[in-house]
Amino acid sequence: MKPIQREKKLQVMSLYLLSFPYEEIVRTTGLSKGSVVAIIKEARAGALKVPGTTSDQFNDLRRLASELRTKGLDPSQAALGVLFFDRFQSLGVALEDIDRWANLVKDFRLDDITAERFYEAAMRLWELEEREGKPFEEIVSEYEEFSKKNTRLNEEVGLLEGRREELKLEVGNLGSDIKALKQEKKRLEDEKDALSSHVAHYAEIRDEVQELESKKITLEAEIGVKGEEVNRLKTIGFAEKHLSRLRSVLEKIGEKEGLSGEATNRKFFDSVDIFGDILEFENQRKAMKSELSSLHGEISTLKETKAGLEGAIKEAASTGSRVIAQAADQIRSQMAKAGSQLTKEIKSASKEVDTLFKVILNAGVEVGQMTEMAAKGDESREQLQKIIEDAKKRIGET
Amino acid sequence: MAYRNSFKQAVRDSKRLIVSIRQRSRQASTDLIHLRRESEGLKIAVLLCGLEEEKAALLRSRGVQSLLKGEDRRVTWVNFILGSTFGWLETHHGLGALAQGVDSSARLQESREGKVQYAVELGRQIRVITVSPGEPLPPGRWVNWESLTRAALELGERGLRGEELGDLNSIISTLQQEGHLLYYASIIRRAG
Repeated sequence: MKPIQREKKLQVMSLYLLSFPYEEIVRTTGLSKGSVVAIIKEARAGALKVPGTTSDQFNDLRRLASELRTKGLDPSQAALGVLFFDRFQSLGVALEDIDRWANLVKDFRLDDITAERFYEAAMRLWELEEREGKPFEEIVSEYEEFSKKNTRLNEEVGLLEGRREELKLEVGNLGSDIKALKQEKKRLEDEKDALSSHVAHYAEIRDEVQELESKKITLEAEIGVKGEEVNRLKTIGFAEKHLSRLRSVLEKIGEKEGLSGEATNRKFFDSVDIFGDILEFENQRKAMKSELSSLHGEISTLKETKAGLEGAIKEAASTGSRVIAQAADQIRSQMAKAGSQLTKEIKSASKEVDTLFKVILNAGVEVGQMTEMAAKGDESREQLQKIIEDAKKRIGET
Repeated sequence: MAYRNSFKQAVRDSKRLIVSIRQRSRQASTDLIHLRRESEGLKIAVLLCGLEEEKAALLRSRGVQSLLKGEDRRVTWVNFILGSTFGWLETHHGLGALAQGVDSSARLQESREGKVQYAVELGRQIRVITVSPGEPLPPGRWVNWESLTRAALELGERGLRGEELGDLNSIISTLQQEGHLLYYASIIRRAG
């Protein structure tokens, strides 16, 4: 007897599992009923393997197929239902919500798309993806992802550039401050020079006062000499009243001496012989008197001058000297103090500016390192962009 | 005195400002180093992403072919329609729905044939193909997919730690020199 081929046996089992009656199976396959029964027994015993099923499921599958046939359904439709059921469960759709889900599907149904158009659309999609080398949503997703990364990198670069500009601006402001400090230092040095010229002026005034004092001493010495001369002229003075007094003195002498007037006159004229001497003496006395008068005027003028000079000298000496001395002391003290303070301030400022420059230098080093990092970051970003384009090109060529 | 106080205050403010600038510069340098390392890591990510896309395109191609001439095309089409329907429900987008249907078909095909092996050629062109015993490979040096991705991830980690990976040629050269790649022998054949 010729053995029955495995395909034939599987056809018998397929019809059996689809709940076809034995007569229908015999008619369809062309085998005898005995052969059909033997094949079914072989499958039940496990000797014949039916893909997708096990022997203990045969009765359940045949009964299920019978019920489907009773209800006018095809097993493939039942399988579709199982797929629907699994997919509903995976989507979290409960059985009682199936009607609502079906209505939802109807709402979104594309009535004007036939299966052919649907397939055509699928092929066009496939061709599009083949041409681009990737699916549409992947292209969109990739584009969005790269756009986000690019935007983020651009924002970060923008922030860093903003920081660099701020740093430049701040360094510029510091340069302006330093310039202002230098100008202030120059102004102080100018003030110091002006004070030095004032001090020199006060020194000149002091020299003039010293000169006036020496003149005062000289004048005092001259006044002393003139006074001695006036005293000496007073001791040799002779006036007219002294003549009458001389006559009365002669008469008294004549009476006293018992001389006549003639004898007295003779004696008197004898005495006149010495008149020249007396006249000379008188002239000398007048000259001396005039000189004395002139000397008195001069003395009085000198006294006034002396008094004025003494007042001026005293005032100048007392006020000027004091003021000048005080001013000189104050100026000297203030100059010394200001000089010391200024030196201290300049040293302190110089030290602080040095410290500031060191801090600026350190900050500059950090900024330089940051700039270097930014340049390397730019280089890395450009390299990454080039790799993206290169990878697209190389992979896209396939 | 007022000037001195003003000067000292200006110096103090300047110092504070410059210290702030220095700290911000230091932080910016750290951020830039971090960004640069991430950029190095992204280079590998870009390469792997391109390879994954090529692999996915191959898989979808197989899905469409299964729709056209695969076995049991009725089940395949039902699976495609279901996948597209659920794709439409999820995305409300025609192309997205079709793509999900094709993906579903591809997965069904893969479940029928078992896990697919892939090989990659790293050269002037970068190609990805499927391989299976019994089918010849096209000419070229074909690298095992898993060994390549493992080596690339290792190289990406080095990039994240600060190593400069260079351009694409340098990356491929490094992978070929240090990646311990597994190359397919010429007797291995690939599936149609």
